[in-house]
Amino acid sequence: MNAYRNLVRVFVRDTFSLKRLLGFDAKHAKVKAMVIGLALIYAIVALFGTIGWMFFDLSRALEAMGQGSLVMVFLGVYIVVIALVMALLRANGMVFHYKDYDFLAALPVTTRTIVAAKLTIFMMLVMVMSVLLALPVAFAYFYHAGVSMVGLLFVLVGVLALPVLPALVGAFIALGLARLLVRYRSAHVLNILVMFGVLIGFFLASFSFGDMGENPLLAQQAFMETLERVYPFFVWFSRAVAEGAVVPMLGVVMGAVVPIGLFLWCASPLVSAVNRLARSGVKKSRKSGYHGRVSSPFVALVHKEYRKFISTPIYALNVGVGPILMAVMAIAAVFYREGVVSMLEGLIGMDGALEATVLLVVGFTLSMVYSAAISLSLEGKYFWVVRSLPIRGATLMQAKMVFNLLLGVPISILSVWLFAWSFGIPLINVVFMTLLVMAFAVLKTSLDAIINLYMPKFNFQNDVEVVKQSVGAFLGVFGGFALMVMNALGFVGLTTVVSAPLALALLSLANGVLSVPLIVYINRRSDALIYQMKST
Amino acid sequence: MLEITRVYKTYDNVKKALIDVSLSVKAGDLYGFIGHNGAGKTTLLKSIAGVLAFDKGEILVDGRSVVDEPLRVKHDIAYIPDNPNVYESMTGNQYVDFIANIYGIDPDARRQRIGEYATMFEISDVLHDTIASYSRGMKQKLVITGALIREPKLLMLDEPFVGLDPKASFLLKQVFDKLRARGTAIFFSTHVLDVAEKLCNRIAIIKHGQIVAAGTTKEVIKDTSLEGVFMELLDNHERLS
Repeated sequence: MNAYRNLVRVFVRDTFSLKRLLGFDAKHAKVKAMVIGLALIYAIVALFGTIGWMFFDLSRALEAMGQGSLVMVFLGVYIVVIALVMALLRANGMVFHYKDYDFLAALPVTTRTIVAAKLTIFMMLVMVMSVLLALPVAFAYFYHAGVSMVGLLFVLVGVLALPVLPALVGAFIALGLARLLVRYRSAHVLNILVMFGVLIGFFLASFSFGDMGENPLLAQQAFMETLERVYPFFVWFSRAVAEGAVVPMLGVVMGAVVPIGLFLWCASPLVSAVNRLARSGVKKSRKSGYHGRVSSPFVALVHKEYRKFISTPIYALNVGVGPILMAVMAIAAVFYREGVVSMLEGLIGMDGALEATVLLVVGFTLSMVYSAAISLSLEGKYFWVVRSLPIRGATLMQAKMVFNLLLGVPISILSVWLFAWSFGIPLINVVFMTLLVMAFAVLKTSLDAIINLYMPKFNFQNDVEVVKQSVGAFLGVFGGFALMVMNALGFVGLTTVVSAPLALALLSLANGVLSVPLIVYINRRSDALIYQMKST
Repeated sequence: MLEITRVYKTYDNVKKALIDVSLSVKAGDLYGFIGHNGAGKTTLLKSIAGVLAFDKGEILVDGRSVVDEPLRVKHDIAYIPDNPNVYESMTGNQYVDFIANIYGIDPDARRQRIGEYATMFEISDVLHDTIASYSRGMKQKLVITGALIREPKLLMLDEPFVGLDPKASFLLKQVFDKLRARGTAIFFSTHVLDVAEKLCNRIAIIKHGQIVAAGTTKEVIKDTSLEGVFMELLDNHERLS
């Protein structure tokens, strides 16, 4: 128990420190810390605002139908899905296959204790996410249903208990997958493909429940009612909160406590095996000697980015999920035009202007391609390699930008044309939509590159910390969303005075013109900025 | 080949890592840079390699400033750090190819050089495996291979013999001889005094960021051993400071 406590204390300090989160010491860079703090506040307000608005509307509607407690089922389902996805993506690296294995394995502590400590940290992260999601939902629910102290207490307990089981199931699936694939040289690629399958499955399932009105949650009511019957914890949770019932609450809590014991019992030997095999059991190549491929320095740099991308599942999943979803929707649009139009309009919350709807969807998914905002950070302990090579900092950044563009632009253009063909958008509009997508991608990528030049994070143990938790990742995604919103407002404003094709052309020009100073800045400043960077 | 003049470096405005460091390494020199842990050896090597910015002074490689002409200088030098962290997602093959592509080494030359050094350091059989599966010593051999295929004018190594097996150490010393005969300057840090004493024609000793002795090995050692000189110099320096 003492060893467990000590390990948890060390892991907490290591995982949740401000320096670790920001990637720099806030004491020595107060202005930078303040800017990031403001951006974080903006993101939290935006998140709470969006979720709060949807659930406020939903709570009112359900309360009017006498089904107010169903809001808690919604909350439960979302918590469970988030926990499951988080576990699938992050258990590999946090619960097993962790970087400090060599150090921990040498300690006189059982694997079960180490796994328990690692699991505790992972659960803390999952619970933080659950609480963040629950705050606006609980506000919306209690606003309409009336506040009760027992209800509030049970929401808190339930929000902490509900994600445990799905997180354990997700971790066990990820662990099993890792055990099956660990010996294969291309395990990471298989892992990426399986995870993409799971994510696309979730995405399609969550938006396939009939017509959506202004609030997409209302369309999921029937689905939630089905889940309520299938997974008893949802109904126990909603009854406990709505009626203040203790017994169902105990059921929810037991549903969290018992599986933890089972997981530690069953998974610990598997964790040992995966950790061990990952270091020594990978099948060796039968080839021998040097077989090379000649390319220019720039192409070599772009290739390097590509290899990093396909060999890091968490990187590929987070940065690659946008284009994949976009392609799935575009292909689906060819076969199920009406359904996809309805879904897109439900997602975007507007109808009529199909061009705008398509551009918003493409812009939204393109904004999720943020490799240029993190790939310099991902050099991490290898940063000395590129720094010691005879290449300009600007060339390095250009290679990273080109890779980012290659990742997002071809699929975006293809998707625009597929959507256009399916929806019967006039050719002239499609040409200007394509131009706009390209110009937007260049602007967004340039902005991302500057973000990473100014906010690199080299001190990390696991790529996840850069891909999902770094300031670069956060600003990359939200900066892209902000740019997209500005373009959307521009389109709406311009179409009141000029035709749609001209509005698209003007927006393309604006994005292109705005990109120029950013690209010039990157070319001029990268050398100096990279030379001055402090890395590990 | 390498001229270091009055170089200073301070970390976070607090820790003085290099204080008024001046050194000269000529073509064909095998120069040992000796010092205790934290003396400033790695800081100086990184500063020469362009991996770390220094505050004041001048570093010239073949007459060119590392600050004013960094790309030209980097073409002429190869730096091998003490901790051979290289892209673990790549195979050994992909890594040496990446280096060869960046330096524009033509296909025949790269095939011949990679073949020669990979065979010499016995990593030919693992070139197609990912670097993540390499041991520390294998990574170091790969980084050394990546450095040698460029045929640099100045080769800099940070603690090169740490992590290498005896055979690889022996082979590396032979490579040093071959490179010196070709006119390559070799500048390496070490705290293994025996190695420096036996191998180097010139040595410098650094203590708390300051050079306390520099010259030919004979001049520095005189009639005693390098170990004796090293300990004496450190004691003297301690008393003075």
